[in-house]
Amino acid sequence: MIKRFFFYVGLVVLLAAVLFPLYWVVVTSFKLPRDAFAIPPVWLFEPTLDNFRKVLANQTFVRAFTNSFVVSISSSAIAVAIGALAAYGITQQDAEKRRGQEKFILSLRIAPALVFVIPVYYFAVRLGALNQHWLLIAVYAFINVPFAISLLITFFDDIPRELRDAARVDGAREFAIFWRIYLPAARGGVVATLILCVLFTWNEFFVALTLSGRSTQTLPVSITSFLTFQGIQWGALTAAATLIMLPMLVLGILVQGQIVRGMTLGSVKG
Amino acid sequence: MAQLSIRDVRKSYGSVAVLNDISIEVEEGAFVVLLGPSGCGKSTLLHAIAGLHEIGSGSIVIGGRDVTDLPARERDVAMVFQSYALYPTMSVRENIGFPLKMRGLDKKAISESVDRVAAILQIEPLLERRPRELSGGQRQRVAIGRALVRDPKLFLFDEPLSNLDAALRGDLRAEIKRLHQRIKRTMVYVTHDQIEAMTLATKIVILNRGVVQQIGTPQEIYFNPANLFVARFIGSPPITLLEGKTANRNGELLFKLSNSDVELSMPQSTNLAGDETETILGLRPENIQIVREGNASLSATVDLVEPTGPEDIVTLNVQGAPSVIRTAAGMTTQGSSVGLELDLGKALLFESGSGTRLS
Repeated sequence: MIKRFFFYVGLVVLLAAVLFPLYWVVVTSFKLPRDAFAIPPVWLFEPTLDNFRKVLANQTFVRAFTNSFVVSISSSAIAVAIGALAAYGITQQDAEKRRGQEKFILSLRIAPALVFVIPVYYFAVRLGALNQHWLLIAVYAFINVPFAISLLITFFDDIPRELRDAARVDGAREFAIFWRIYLPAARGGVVATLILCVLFTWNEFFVALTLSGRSTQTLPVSITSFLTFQGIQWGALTAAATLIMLPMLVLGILVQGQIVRGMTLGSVKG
Repeated sequence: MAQLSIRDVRKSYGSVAVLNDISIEVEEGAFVVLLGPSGCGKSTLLHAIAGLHEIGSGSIVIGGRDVTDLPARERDVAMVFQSYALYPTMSVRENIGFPLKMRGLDKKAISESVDRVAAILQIEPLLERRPRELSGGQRQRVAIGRALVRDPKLFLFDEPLSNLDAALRGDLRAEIKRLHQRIKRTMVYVTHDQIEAMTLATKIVILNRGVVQQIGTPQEIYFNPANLFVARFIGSPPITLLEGKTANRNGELLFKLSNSDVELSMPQSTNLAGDETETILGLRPENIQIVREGNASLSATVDLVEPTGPEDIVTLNVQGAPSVIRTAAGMTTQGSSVGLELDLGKALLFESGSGTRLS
């Protein structure tokens, strides 16, 4: 009983710590400047959509939104496509080969992005690719592939090996087994992986800052323009932040369901 | 011509030989059961036939074609798995049609074949369902349907009934037997269940530790086992084994039971075993009768009585050795002392150390 009580107290404290800043961001985005800077802070105020109007009228922001959308969706799709093929291949190896390959994948995940961002920047400058979308798409796909592989391996491992044996006897070639049996059976996991890749790419700042040009700036880079020499435009900044968070919030809710589904699909014998 | 020839097949994992010089000939239309305890290599052998495992050396010939180096999809075999291995995201119709689809048949031909197979297995009402909506017995029927749809050279069954409950197992076993009699195809069936082996097989291959112990009809295997392992593995209740020594006296073969002064006069020839050879005498339950103690050749005490209805399964203690037999219901009581009449003409003699059959 007492244990339960402390569990819930702890939970409330934790949730408050995590959710309060988010709450403050969202609430501030609906405030007029005078409410935003009121000391002591006002809890009740007259909400306004001015900040959102201002942000949505801002061409740079809208373009950054489109950039982010295009870059994160396409790089994630590429990463998952490559990752699924690789993960399928790895799960069908014998244990010894497999361990080596998994170690290699893990080493790719451990390596910090900084290691290759600098040489990539150099190449991009020489190729004149700094202002092109494919550069960001390629780099993010590259970063996401190891992650996608490791995650998809766990989903493919849940699929009984005998399905592959049965398909081989039934006359299927390796790619048909992957495409018609493994991929559909791991559908939940594939969707979850895709969404997690999108989430990561959407929020990523460092690579985008280094490798994006004026016309390929993504959202995390773009919103720094609200931090001006004239001061921080809190209203616009928080409105932009709210708009950035919104699609990811929706995806986050989706991915939660998919991951749980993906996990249980494997444990129930099909 | 043999439909399946397995010639000198060897396979080992590291230094452990799982298949040791296996050679089996299977004629067309036969129902061969690979039988053995778990880990004897029977499943490995079946997977090797299917092309799912590579073999170390030797060759496998199916329908006159050497398939040793061919991948599974080119061997023209069909397989039914213990775990059913149905494709979870496909309907029953798609599952059964899958082998045909992989062979590039058109939709209409596939659909007709699926309907034909569904009619044979009486699963027409299930065709649009997903595997997870089916019971275990229904799933295995679908898996058999998937094997049947293609008319392959060889059917392989890997313990197909082991995941089913007892009643269903009996039903499906009978169904598989009827299916074999109807389509007259060559089938290779792996099991550890001797009842399945005895009831289904036209030929049984007994394996132990990767070595073929005996190949024969169910009758031969039961009445004429090649060695002690086979004798012990087959039969329920199990064969009674008595340890002792043979003796040769005046042209008569005697069996002297260990730990007692009982001497049994054997009808077998004295050429069988030398004097004082350590021997094991095996008797099937039906060759041991309970009689009044006075005119018995051997006495025993009743350890346990298990009534099954029409008859009792009685565990006896014969001079320290356990012996399980069947008797009419209510004939014995636990703890009582009984006399035994042995049908020594049917006795099997084995060499003690090697387990080799003498008679």
